[in-house]
Amino acid sequence: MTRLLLALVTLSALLVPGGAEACAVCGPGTEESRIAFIVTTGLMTAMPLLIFAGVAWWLRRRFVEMQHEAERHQSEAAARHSQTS
Amino acid sequence: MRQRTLRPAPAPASVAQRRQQLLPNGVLGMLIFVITEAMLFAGMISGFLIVKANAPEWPPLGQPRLPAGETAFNTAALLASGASLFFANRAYKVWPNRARLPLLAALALGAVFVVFQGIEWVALIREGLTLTSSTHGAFFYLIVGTHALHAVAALVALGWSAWLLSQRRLRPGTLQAVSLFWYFVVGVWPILYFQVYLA
Amino acid sequence: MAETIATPGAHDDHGHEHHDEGWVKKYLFSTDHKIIAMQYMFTGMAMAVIGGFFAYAFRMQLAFPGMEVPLWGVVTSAEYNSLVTNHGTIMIFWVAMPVLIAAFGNYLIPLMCGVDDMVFPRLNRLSYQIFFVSAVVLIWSFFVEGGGFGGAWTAYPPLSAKAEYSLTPSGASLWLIAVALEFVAFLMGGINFVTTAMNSRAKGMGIYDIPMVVWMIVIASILFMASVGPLIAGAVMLFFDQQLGTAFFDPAQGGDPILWQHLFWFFGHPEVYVVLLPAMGIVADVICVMGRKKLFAYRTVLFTAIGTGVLSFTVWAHHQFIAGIDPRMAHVFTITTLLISIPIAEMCFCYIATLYGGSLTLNTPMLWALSFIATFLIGGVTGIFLGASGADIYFHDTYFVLAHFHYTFFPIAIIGTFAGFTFWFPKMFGRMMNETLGKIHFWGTIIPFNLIFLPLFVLGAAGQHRRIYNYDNFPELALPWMQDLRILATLSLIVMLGFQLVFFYNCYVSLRRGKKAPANPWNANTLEWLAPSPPPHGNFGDKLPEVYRGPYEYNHPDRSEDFWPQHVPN
Repeated sequence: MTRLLLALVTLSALLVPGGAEACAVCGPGTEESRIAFIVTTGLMTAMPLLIFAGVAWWLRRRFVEMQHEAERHQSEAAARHSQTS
Repeated sequence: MRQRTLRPAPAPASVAQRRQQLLPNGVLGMLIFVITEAMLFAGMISGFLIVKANAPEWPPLGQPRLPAGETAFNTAALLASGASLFFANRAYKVWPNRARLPLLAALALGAVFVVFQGIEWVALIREGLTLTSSTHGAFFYLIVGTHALHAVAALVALGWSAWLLSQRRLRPGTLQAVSLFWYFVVGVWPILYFQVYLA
Repeated sequence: MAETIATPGAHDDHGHEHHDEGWVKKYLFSTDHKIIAMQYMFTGMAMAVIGGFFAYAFRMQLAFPGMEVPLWGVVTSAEYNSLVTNHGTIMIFWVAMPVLIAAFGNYLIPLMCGVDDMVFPRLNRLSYQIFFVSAVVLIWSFFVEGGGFGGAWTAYPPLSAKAEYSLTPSGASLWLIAVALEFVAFLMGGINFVTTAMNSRAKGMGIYDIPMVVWMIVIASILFMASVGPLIAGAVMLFFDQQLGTAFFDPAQGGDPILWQHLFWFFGHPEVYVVLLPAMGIVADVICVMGRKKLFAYRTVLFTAIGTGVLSFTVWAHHQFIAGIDPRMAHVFTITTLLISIPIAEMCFCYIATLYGGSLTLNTPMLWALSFIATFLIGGVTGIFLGASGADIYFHDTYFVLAHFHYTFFPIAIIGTFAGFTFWFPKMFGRMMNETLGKIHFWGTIIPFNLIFLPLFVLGAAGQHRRIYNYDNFPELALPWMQDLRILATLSLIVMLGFQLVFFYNCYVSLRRGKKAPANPWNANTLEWLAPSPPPHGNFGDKLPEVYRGPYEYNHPDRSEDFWPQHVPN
């Protein structure tokens, strides 16, 4: 855990480089525009992952529910069966 | 998800449903399609946010302001339509015929939304907001227009479901799939409304 | 849910016409998944011929600038741009996608899942028809005024957005329409694949009994559909810029050209994994059957593939390191990019572990599968240099990049396809392929392939820029040794293309006079080998198979036979 924390702190240092521009001729855009790029990048990257996580979770819940229902059906059928026999 | 433990399926004739499904085919297919559509709108909104952040002034000077107030009324109609469809779905499960009224109400409210949006567009074009007048206009027509196309397509599908229902041929999977699409169209609108009209 | 079970048939909109149909109805407008798969396969191969011919034409110009190229003529600079652009577009969107996903997906998913057809057969047919129209539109774009689009397959604005820059007033728009139509086609196909594999499988086939190739195609389809949306949005915007005069990407009027890269690469990078995963799946199936061993760590491979899918959404901005993106973002994307090599390497290790100790049959499909692992490894390792944003500043847009992605795409689109095609050829056509010709074709492809792209790594490291039409104009790039390497690469390409004739001859001979294939020529386990070769309409006849175990039970200790088909009760 400590090591993980240390790694995260080290990694977060990567977020603070100053003018390390790879492109020498591109004028730096306004800070607003840079933030917009970062925010939309985060949005577009996270969105499909969140959607799939949500869908997977929902399907899982539905599956468990259906299984419970099936078990209930089965036990009811078994009960009826034992009554008749 | 080992489904073999579930109750045995009825003996299939040749190609019967061979396994119990978590979701009917139509709903699963529509769900995947809706995810694609959600990403389409995410792309458009991303572009809009970036161009908006680049602009010194938003909306650009000399461009008409969008009628946020009138559109709030439209938004309410659309949301009501979604709610109405929700009740139609619930009624359908109990007694299919009872779904008819809420389904038609959803259809009518959706049509109100589309028609009033159209009227709004005509007014805006008269005021000088066009695709080429600025990036503001371009994004407005792109995003709202894409949504309108979806709304029209969904309304056609809803109308078709209503017709099938009156013929007693509506299958639950079809209604669920069409509803899913309409919920998406309804659900994405408040986000678009907030981003394009308000923020 | 009860209603859906009572509903007779997952395929309610699928008429079961067993009566005699006309040739046109049977082969051109069929809803049978096998026919549609063949349509995709042959269209893809025809497009591959066009794409290969384009490569020949522009490689000749690079090796012998200004020469009159046989079968083409003098390559002008505009033609050169168009050839390069359309070579890339065709090979990715009209060869790799239709063959690996659409053709193999259509053919294998219903057969391997033990059902008679796709869940939405008519949607499937529509998918191919739209795909066909898209191919026609693309080919049409070569012949309009101004020629085909020449702004590279990435179509960066402003070059692609304004006709006065690209000089292709209609070519650019037709190119864009073709790509958009193609996406619509695959959207329909993908919905079908996922729904069929998830909802309509043989009785008893749990999710860990699904063959790896089906899983991979399903994951790839999901990736495609989750990533394509922003690009469709971008394509609409670019089309408006071209034809209606909007300014989404024009900085002079408030737009932003980087925005296109933003939207394009959000799709563009997952796309790499969209075509990679099916090839990985094909290779998994081939090495298990030909190595007579159970796939090493089935669940690990499966979850690694899913993990690759997840990570593939988080690496795309590495294409923009020098496009002026924020350095803070570049760092994050460097890390994620280096991370994604881990799951891919893991899959390769699992495959190598599968091979270890197996009794390998080195026939043609197996040779292709083994060479896939070897060559893809080179592509993957060279990618690490490009993933680090520092090294990428130097390597960006050089031939190093080009050689890197050809070392990934060639194994995927060509080697993976040949592995699958030669492996399932007996099933598809009911005849065995000629092994001698197959091996000649294999060696005649794989050796020249390495001779094409290894020199290009050297040239790229020496700083040779990608988008140059004639290196004579750049004295420091036109040194004699560099020109020699270019000529070597070009001659190797011609040799490689020549050996493809062996493949077509092999297909022809095998189809006409090949040995009749039994239902299960490779002694494989999966369900498609239960159906007759070639499978009839409806695949398994009246009785659909049931599944009792996983797909890779080879050399099980309790059995005398070295294979244990999925459908055999015990």
